[in-house]
Amino acid sequence: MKSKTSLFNVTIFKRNIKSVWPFWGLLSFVAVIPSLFLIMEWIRHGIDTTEFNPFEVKYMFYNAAIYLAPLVAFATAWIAAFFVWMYLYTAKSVGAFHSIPVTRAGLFVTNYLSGIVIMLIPYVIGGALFILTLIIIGVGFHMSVFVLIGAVIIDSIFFFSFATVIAMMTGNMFALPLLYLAFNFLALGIENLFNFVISNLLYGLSFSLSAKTDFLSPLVCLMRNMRTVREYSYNRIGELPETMTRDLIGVSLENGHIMLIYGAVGVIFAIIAFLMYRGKKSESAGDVVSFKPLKPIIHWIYTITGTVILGMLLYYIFSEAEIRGMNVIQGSLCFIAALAISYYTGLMLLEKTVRVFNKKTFVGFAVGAVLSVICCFCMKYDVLGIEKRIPDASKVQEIQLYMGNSYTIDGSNKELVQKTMDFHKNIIENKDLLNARFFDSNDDEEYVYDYVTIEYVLKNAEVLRREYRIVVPRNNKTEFDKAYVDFVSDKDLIKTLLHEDDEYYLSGGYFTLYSYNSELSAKYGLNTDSWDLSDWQTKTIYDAVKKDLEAGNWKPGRNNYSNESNNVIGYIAVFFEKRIERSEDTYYYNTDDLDVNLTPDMTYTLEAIRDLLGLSEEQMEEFVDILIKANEPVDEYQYYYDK
Amino acid sequence: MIEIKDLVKTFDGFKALDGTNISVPKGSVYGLVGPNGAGKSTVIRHILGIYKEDSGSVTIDGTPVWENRSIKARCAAIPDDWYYFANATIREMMHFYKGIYPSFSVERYEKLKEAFPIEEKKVIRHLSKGMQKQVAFWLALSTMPECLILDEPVDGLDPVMRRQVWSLMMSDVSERGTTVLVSSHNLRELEDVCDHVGIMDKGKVLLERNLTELQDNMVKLQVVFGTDVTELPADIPVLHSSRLGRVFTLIMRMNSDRAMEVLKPYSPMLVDAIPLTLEEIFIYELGGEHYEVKDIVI
Repeated sequence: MKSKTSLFNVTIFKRNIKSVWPFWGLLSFVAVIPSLFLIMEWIRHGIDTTEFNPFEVKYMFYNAAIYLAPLVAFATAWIAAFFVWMYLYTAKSVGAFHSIPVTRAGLFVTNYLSGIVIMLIPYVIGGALFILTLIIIGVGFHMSVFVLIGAVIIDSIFFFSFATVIAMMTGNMFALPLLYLAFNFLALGIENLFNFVISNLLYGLSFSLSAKTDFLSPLVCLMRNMRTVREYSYNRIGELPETMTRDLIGVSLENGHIMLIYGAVGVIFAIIAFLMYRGKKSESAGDVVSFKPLKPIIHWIYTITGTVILGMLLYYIFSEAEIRGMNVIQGSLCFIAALAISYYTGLMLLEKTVRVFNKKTFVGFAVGAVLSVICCFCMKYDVLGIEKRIPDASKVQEIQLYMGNSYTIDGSNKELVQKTMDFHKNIIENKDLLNARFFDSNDDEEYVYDYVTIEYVLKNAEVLRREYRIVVPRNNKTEFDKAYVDFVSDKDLIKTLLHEDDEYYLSGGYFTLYSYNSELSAKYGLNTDSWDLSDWQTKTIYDAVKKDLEAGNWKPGRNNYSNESNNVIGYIAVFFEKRIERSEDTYYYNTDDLDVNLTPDMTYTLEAIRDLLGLSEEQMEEFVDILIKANEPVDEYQYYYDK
Repeated sequence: MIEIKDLVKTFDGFKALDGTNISVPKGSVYGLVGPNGAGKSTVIRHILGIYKEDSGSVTIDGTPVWENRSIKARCAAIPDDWYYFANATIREMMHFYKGIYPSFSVERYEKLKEAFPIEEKKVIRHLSKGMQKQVAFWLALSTMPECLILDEPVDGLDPVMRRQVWSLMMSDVSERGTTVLVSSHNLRELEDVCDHVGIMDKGKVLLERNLTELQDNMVKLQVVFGTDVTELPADIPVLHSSRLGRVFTLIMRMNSDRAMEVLKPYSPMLVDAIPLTLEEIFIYELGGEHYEVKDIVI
């Protein structure tokens, strides 16, 4: 059959589809399994179609559009691209294809469409059967399926175009999957790699996965940012959420525009890939990077990533056992060694030869080495002021503080905001003291360890998070130690902890007794070691804890979190809730909790517990004694492990 | 007519073609010869539109080849390492060629079955190298090419099949006016089929002639001088000379009549002109370019 147009060749298209039938055949088989399962269930047991509320079906299709479609497209795009562009990777095949009477435009369009079709065939087979199955079993046809169809087409176009750009960028069949994977997660990978490095080398920074650059990692961006929102109508029976029934009254797709943006980017990628193909030299078959201008870019991305990973590894091995900041000499040596390995192996891979050591390449290495040393200096002396950064109080929307308990400090509470900032500043100023105590003190008896996390949520939605390991002696020795204790015991802070002046209300709680055993069970007729608290029980315990707090029997912060008292006999959690109105009819809850380690000193709380357990005063005294004895020494991990 | 003018191609700083000029007349059989690495395959890849020239031009009938669908449709190629799809049978490849080349003749394909006795349903990958080459010829000739580009075409073929494919090609040349450009190291074979020859070295064409002209323009003489001439006179322009007893063997770049005239003043006792083979022309021409056979004792 002769092609009528010069942009599409039926013969090549047919051959592409035919040659990879095992691939799309297997995927199609997987795609029809849900339908087969539904049909078999229907035949065997019948299906209650009332369970398929139209909104639930819509929710299912939307979720498939958010999670399934990008995931499948991501996983299959490079394979489809590999099959249709495979001829570009050997001199023999590229010569054969580029000598036939089909223009590059014709080859590109034909192969591009082949790849898209290869990706869509399983959906067409599996999807059509699934829709048909829903109709047959009585669920019916739902228009929301078109959202899923749209997502499948858009995601396929985007990821296949992306894979095609990579396929054009390289001339090596092994490099295609590696580069595809690398470029999909490169931005996030580098972002988190740098987070990891600075969290290890800068004081107060902690590592947590971040995704500021997730828009450059499409799979992550699509799955993280698109959401299915369900709207419910509530039938209120009581105050607590548990006592409400709700009906699903609407389902909508949030951030669906992200998918459309990626679809548009996919089209742009396809155009870029076409332009690259037009300029691609047949003689580049076999090269890791086909385009000369891209070589230094890819080389330096590889070099920087390799240097950071390997440099950190070497620094861990050859520097202190636990990193406590940057040692410029050790750091520089480790990073230069890592740079040498990364820089020259990168060159070897790109040039396909081990003869890469010459004056010209040495200049690049030397520049990299100088930059490595500069970076080490910047880290050591915090040139960018990252360690010292404390935001302007006027820009703070909220502070999330964690010191054994979590505290939410509203930005409007200017006094407490300022106190928190002063405390933060105090920690930074005492960096050397706290580091020395943390790394050098072996006397656990003398010191108390605590973790303090301060998270500023700024009005521009930026979040500044710092985490410190605080080590203070039991008998406060320095100004800092006193300031720490003062801050932890600050009345305003405690008010925040107890949610005395805000909209949070008590929503439940529980308490558990450590080292609860059969002796106690037999003697006091208790059949559990953990009790869920009802509304009034929660209020009783909460009030008792508050009294203990006022009486100085319980101190939040280090006293609560750490093992300062070895006679912790139980744990109490009190939950708070705040209702946030989303619209007139819909709302959600913000939650918080108060965590308390129960000690024998907490007389008010113990009395409340005695009432709850129905024990006499004498019994309670004995009961606590048994718990203390059974608890010595307190080893919560061992307790849970044994259990 | 295939015309290559001032073609330059560089690979990573290495100049593979350095101002190559080739002219292949329509309906001729052009032999492109040269030592390994001379740039013959690079030239062929330009003619087939695989490589894009850095500078210069490659045209067929005055039209540039690069990205030219209609020109490529008129050309068929048999490269040294012919490509076929993995697991494809001969028939499947035939269907592919049929879909790609507008002038593909199924009738001819069927006729050529007699010349190439290979089972059509066989997977090409399972055939011997020689049989794969036969399949390449079978399919290429079925495209009814106006221009046939061959790179080491008969490598791996047995002598009978060699004759068979040359005969098929020659009949195409004579009946359909097909232009053939063939690159080969088998100069004896080329001598039998080519009417034009181009000798390449280091990315350049050293000489390009009609084969008869080429052979007329170089002569090998066996000469016996009188006893008074003990050494070969210095003013006799020779490309190469050797001596066995009193018999001098001279290679001279001129025709035999002119050579006789040059030798006449020395009153040779015996002069015998022997025509040079293409292989000898190749060796002596390249000898002048420092590519002579060296007497190396290992």
